[in-house]
Amino acid sequence: MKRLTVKKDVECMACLSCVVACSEAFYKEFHQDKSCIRIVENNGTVKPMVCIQCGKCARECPQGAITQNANGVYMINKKLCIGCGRCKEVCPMGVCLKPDDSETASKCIACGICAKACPMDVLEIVES
Amino acid sequence: MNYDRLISIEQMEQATEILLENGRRVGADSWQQRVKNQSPHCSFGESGTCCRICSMGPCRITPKSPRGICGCDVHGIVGRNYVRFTAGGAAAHSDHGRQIMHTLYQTKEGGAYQVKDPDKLKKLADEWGVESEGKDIYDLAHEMAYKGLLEYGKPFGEQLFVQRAPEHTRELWEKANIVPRAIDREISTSMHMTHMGNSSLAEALIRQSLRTGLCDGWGGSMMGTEFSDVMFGTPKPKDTTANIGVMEKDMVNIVVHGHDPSVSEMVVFYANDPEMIALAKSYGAKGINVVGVCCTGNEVAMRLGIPMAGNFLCQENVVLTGACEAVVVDVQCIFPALGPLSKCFHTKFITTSPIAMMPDSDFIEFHEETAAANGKAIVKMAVENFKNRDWDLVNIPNLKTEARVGYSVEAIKKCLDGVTNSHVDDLGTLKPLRDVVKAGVIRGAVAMVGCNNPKVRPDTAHIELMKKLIANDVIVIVSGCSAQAAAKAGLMSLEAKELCGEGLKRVCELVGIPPILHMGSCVDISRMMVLASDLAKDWGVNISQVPVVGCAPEWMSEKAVSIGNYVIATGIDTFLGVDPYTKGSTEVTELLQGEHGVKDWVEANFTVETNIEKLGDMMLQRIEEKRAALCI
Repeated sequence: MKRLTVKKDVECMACLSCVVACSEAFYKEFHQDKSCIRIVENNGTVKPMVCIQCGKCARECPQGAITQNANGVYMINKKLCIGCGRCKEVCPMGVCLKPDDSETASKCIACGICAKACPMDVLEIVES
Repeated sequence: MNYDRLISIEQMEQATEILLENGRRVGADSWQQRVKNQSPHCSFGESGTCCRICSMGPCRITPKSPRGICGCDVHGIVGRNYVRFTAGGAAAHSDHGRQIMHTLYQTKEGGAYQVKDPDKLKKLADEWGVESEGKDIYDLAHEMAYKGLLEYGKPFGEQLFVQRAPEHTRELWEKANIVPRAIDREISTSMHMTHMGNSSLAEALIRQSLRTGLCDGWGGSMMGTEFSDVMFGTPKPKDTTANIGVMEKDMVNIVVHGHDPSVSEMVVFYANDPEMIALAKSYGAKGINVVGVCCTGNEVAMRLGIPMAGNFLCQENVVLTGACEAVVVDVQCIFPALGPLSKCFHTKFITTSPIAMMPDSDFIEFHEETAAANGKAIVKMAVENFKNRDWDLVNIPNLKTEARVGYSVEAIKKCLDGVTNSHVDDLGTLKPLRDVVKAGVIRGAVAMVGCNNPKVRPDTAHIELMKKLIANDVIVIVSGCSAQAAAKAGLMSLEAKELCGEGLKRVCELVGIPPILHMGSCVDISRMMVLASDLAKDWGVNISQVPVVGCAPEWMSEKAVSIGNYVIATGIDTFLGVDPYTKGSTEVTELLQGEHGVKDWVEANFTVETNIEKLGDMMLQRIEEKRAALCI
């Protein structure tokens, strides 16, 4: 299964390079709410929130628009997506998106663009 | 405890919550919300390891990229950023001082600006070697203003006020090669040193930071303080009130905010003008109420007894009361947020300086030459705005307490004269203070200064530390937003002696002072330098030996870093509650906080500790260490 992971022993600097990269790659603009990776701060500790390919979104989708591909990555079929936002609501990491100005939802496809953008090499794509 | 004038942090937070609710009704933004939007902060910026000085970058230092494109290492980058931060602060303070000197140049008999303290002017003239005998006081004022302005750009020599420092301190500065030269030169040199392809040696950069700080504290800021006293009067103890409840429901409320007293003095003057009061009454108001925020608030509180509505992070609160007719600002620490916020209410946001121009404001340019007309126009605009008030939105939290403010060095000496035996001892010295510290009745002093910073629960660090210190018989002298935190909490009233340890309580009773002494605005930290120097001289020891430390638990501005530099350079250990963007470099951290850096040069260093409880313990410990070293 292919997915994006956060390395445990490397410090995230919260520079948002990953957020910028993701948002610009898929929405052609930088907007914090248009990124499938989030940086959150809890009690002074900064942590990237990434899609763990858990499939909750797929199970919740009323259209069956989200399915797992050969690599184990959950993909949204934009033709089937009706933009109801259920996937966004149930995502435990808060990284499934349905921006107001977009008709369909989007989620992490484990493309690795964010990992490449990270100056600290905090992120990596793993296949297991 | 039979003492009910204390206002707790929780009460202030409740009041703020009520005001924010008022704001939500009209769709207002707030710093509380903006902090959430801006979090988490980028750690490259926070640790000082991001360099944007040339356009090859920005370069960020990481394990896989330990050097910038030019080859500068992390110590050079952090050091350069630190110098630039300092230069920004020194520039702001010193330009404030320059403005004061320009105002002094415009003083005239019967004019908008006059010399209210001619004795102080003559004393300063003596210090600067200007003959005052037989001279018209205004001729002298203009001559001093001209000479002061030359301090900014003189080609050779040192700052004139350096002569005030004890000989030992001056020797240290000479040896460390940090004696401040022309003010503008130090700031320019800092910018030049940090331009692409110049200094990357951390030690050299930190040395220039101290020198730039000194040109502020012993140059621009000191001029700002001393000549403000000449024009507006040297502060004397004065009673006033503090906290948001000083806004009056039935009156025209004008909030003065910023730093330069030249503007606020005129606003206060015309708010007392019978013509303006009559105009206010014709609109149905009971009168005109001027209140202060930030350091302008401190300036007019300590000279004119104007109430203090709040400090830095309260600046939006005054508008959120819905009862603010105008926020009149001069320079520094003004949230650009006030423009859009004022549009949610009837409030006029009046900017007055080309230095601080902002969108969504009414700009009335304030000139020294036309100050009276400008001041009157501002007050008139506020008064005429009273009729636009939406009474449904008026909500002034009922929080108000008393404060005694205005302890300039001169005022402190005068208070001490009251407990001096004039038959035996000299008057006008700090010897009684030295004696009580020596005897251990007071353990020492802390100069608490600085801003608010949302990284710290607002005012909590100031207030909790002050309470802890006075309970341990440490007298606290305060300025800037720290002073207002104390005033808002009720710690500046005479009754606050009840919170002191037995020794400090006794001193407060005998001398008739509150345990927290208000020394003024942030430029007035120069007063603290004079106080420390005079105390060391009267004591016969070095400044670094006196059990005095500095503390800025909630600082946020570049000015605060400049201040920190000159306070440690003067020999006073300084404790910070917020990291100064230097933790990315072990070398810079060691230079500023270690045993072998600035401490070797100027006998003092920084301590950074974000745990406020620990910060307080460390200060008390340092004071006791200094006492032990003096065998007292």
